[in-house]
Amino acid sequence: MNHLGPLISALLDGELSPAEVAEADAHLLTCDRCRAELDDTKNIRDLVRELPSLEWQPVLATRRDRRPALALAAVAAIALVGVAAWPPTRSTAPPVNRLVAARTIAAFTPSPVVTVPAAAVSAPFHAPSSMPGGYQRMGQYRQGSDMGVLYSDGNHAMVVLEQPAHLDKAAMPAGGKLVSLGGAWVGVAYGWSGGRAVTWQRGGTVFTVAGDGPEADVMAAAGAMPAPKSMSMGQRVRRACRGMVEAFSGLW
Amino acid sequence: MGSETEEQPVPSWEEVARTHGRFLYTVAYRLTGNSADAEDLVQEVLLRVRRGLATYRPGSMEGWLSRITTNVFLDDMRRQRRRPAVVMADPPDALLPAAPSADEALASTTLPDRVQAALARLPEDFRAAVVLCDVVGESYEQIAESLGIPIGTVRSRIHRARALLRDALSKDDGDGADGA
Repeated sequence: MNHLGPLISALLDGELSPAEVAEADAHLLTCDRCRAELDDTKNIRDLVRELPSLEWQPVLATRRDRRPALALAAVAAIALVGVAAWPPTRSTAPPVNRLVAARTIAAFTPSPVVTVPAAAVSAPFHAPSSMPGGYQRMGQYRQGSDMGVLYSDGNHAMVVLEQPAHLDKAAMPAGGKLVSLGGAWVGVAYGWSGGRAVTWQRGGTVFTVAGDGPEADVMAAAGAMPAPKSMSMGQRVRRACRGMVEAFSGLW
Repeated sequence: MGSETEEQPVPSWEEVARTHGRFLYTVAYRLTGNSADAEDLVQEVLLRVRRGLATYRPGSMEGWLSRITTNVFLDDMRRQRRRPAVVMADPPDALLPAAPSADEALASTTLPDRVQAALARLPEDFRAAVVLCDVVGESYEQIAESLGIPIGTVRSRIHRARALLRDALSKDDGDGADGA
């Protein structure tokens, strides 16, 4: 005698014709094995059906926090370092907007920042050497496993921050709006005390671009970021381990 | 049948994200099994939605979204198989830098969590079928259309998936720990 097999799931899901249902019922009357399988299958189906719906916040405006996202403290830090510690390679000092530094540094106490040579922030990081609108890379820093790159177009400053992390949406500042970035990312744009910023998450990294120039500059830079290669599980684990080592060694 | 000239306005993709983001993320999480990949999948789907809204015919938005989500997911998995990176056994989510939220961490021993872990061990094609059936709530006919497979294949994949889930969960019960 043929057992019901896949017909058991179809029976449970109401996917059999009336004739098939009658046949299956007749079989079940005489077959303990199929009855047991029916019970087991129903239990499993119910477990999957009862899996909870999960929270997801597209717009991060639910709560106003006096401290903006941690990323912005890093903006302050990098703006300071940009002004104080990165001599320009050309003859004129980049007129990095000192107001940004002054205003934001008044608002935050940035954690210690370690500046590093450009080579130290190559792969797995992504920030390119220039950004649309004439922004050139002025310097970069590492802080734990995070990386920040400062750009300037001569008038305005911009920072790209890459954090191997998961975005803590609850820590985002209020007033965010969902934006599409160059058709490449979906991010959340928001204001910070020095201008505009946008944050998105991709490939296990949280990206933030913040600047004191026009919002269009910030959005164009975000849209110009190269796509992170999607990491394999193994790469992620290695990166997590490296991040932990760096987080601790960064505490000196 | 008749001429339904009443044109429903096509929603903007921001509206889609706001209204269906939670649904999208839930489906993405059930498929991928971790929050970082689920966020990426939602990103990719929203971008496709943005490009494809012009072709959306008013109807079941969630059906349309889950079709895109499953297909993006399956495409990604196939692409990753073609370019295998470093092969490692799937490590537990807890090791990932994309730290699970406090809720996820607290829930790590609950039954839904074990069901999710068992789902993550299913072959992707089976997982997609069972997620469309039991998480999204689609009919076999809709699943066949979404995945581009015959209805008989839908039937056998769903049943096989449930049998594998049952085995995985009863094994959990049996040895009380990860058998791997």
